[in-house]
Amino acid sequence: MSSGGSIFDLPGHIISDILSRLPIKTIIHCRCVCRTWRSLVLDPHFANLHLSRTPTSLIIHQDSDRSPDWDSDILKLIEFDRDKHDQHGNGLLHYDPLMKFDLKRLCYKNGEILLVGSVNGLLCFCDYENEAIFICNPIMRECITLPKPIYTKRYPSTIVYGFGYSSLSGHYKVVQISQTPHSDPAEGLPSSYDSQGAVYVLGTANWRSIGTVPFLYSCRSYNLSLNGNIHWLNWDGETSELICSFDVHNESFQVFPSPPNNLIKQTLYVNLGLFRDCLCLCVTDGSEDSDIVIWVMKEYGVKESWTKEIVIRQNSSDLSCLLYDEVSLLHVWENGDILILWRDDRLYSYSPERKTLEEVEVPRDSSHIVAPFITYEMMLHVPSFLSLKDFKREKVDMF
Amino acid sequence: MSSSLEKNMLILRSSDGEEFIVPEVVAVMSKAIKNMVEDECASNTIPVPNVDANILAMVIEFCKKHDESEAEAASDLKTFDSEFVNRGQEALYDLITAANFRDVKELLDALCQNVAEMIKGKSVHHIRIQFLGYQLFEILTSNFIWNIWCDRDFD
Repeated sequence: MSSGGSIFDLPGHIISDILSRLPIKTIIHCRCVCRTWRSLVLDPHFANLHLSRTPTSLIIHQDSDRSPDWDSDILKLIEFDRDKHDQHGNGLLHYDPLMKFDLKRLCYKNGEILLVGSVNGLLCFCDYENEAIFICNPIMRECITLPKPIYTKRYPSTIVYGFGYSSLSGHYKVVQISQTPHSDPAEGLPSSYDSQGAVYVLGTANWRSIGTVPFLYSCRSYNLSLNGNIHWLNWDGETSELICSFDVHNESFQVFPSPPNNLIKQTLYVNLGLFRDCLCLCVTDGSEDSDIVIWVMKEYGVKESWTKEIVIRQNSSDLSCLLYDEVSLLHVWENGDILILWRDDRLYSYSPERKTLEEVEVPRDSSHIVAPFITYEMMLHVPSFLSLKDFKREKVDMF
Repeated sequence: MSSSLEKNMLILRSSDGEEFIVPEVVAVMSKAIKNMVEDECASNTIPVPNVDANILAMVIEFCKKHDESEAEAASDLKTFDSEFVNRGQEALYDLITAANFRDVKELLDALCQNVAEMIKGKSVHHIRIQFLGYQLFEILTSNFIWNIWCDRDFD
């Protein structure tokens, strides 16, 4: 009665559907099963289907100027494992050494790489020393080096980057902002700046000036791309809102609705992040009864929806160690516990329910001895099979 | 026969001529049948070519369960789904083809997820063996088909 058909005989769109539900590593294996499967996985349709089903992971850029070569300028993809749990019901961090990517071959020997942003599996990083910007998809092992940007970092100018995507136009854009103070910063905090912007649309092979840019940006804080906008913290004391945004589609800068200013007291450190899928702020305030507060914007773009979601009190046990540097939120587990990065080298898990803090080991290659003085940059990243080769006029290097 | 049929019931006729009396709400979980009913181009008896009685019975079982269980706990339905799709590869192939051809989204979704679970974590070699089975011998002995393979390749 049965037709005796095999899974291999199913139509292409069904095979794509099946493969798009698999973990990254299995998909990489599936690419090698036969030519048909290989061409299905390389199709942009598959990349988009897979992207829509793939949970967010964590990308870690590991660097150390005092450790051997194998430990510096490495990217690692860490998955949030929902199937395995620790004794508190927390998921675990899962690292497969196959998901380790060496950036040394891509960059200049004397350079220093910093992450700029991550969108749809594409990662933007830059080398300030050599004025080089890279877009790479580590899963595809593809990388593009952008042409020299318009503005260069010359004292006393500072340079800030952002990376975003507009689903309206389908464009990926890198934004460069150059801030030049009107007075010498050595003689006190400058009162005004001249800020100029430039945009690079992936696939066009050239930078384009967008003229004067409002607000004041810190070169240390990260940008965050969400819903077609790139968000930065705004350090311009004159504007009432703490966050500003850049609309990737129409290339305009705006103030963005932020938590009520009077509730954020003397802020020591602020960091933008994502709480589940909502924009959030991690605030460490400098007042006497200092707390770490995680503000969450429950409804995107609605000022009234900002909520004090989690407060980590200083007087609760040994949390005080967190206060002396930046805290950024990386993940919220299903049981409500949060994973946070402190400074740029320590991971902690905090339980709002039990009010406990536990250090979490950064996943590493088991065969290696841990080198001291390793620093990390961590960023949420959705691994994808988008190919940079689909952008016209870009020269793609494999690594 | 159609005159004696209860209201809101349809007859589905499989490729091998067997007829199934099915409530309309169940039958229209197939988008293809729904379109036919909406366009009023269907009489009470709807032919379902390419799907034999055995497979059609399974598809109807799945749709009936999903229609009835709207009020039931989602976890019960999940258990039913995972047991329902737990079948041999040939039955899976026929069911997927039927679900695809008749456009039964929920069934196709459950089936694709099941095949994905079968592939998950497997090596290239295992996937080839698992899904080609006895056909593998034929393929390995044929130079022509040999060309469809490519070597393990990470670019």
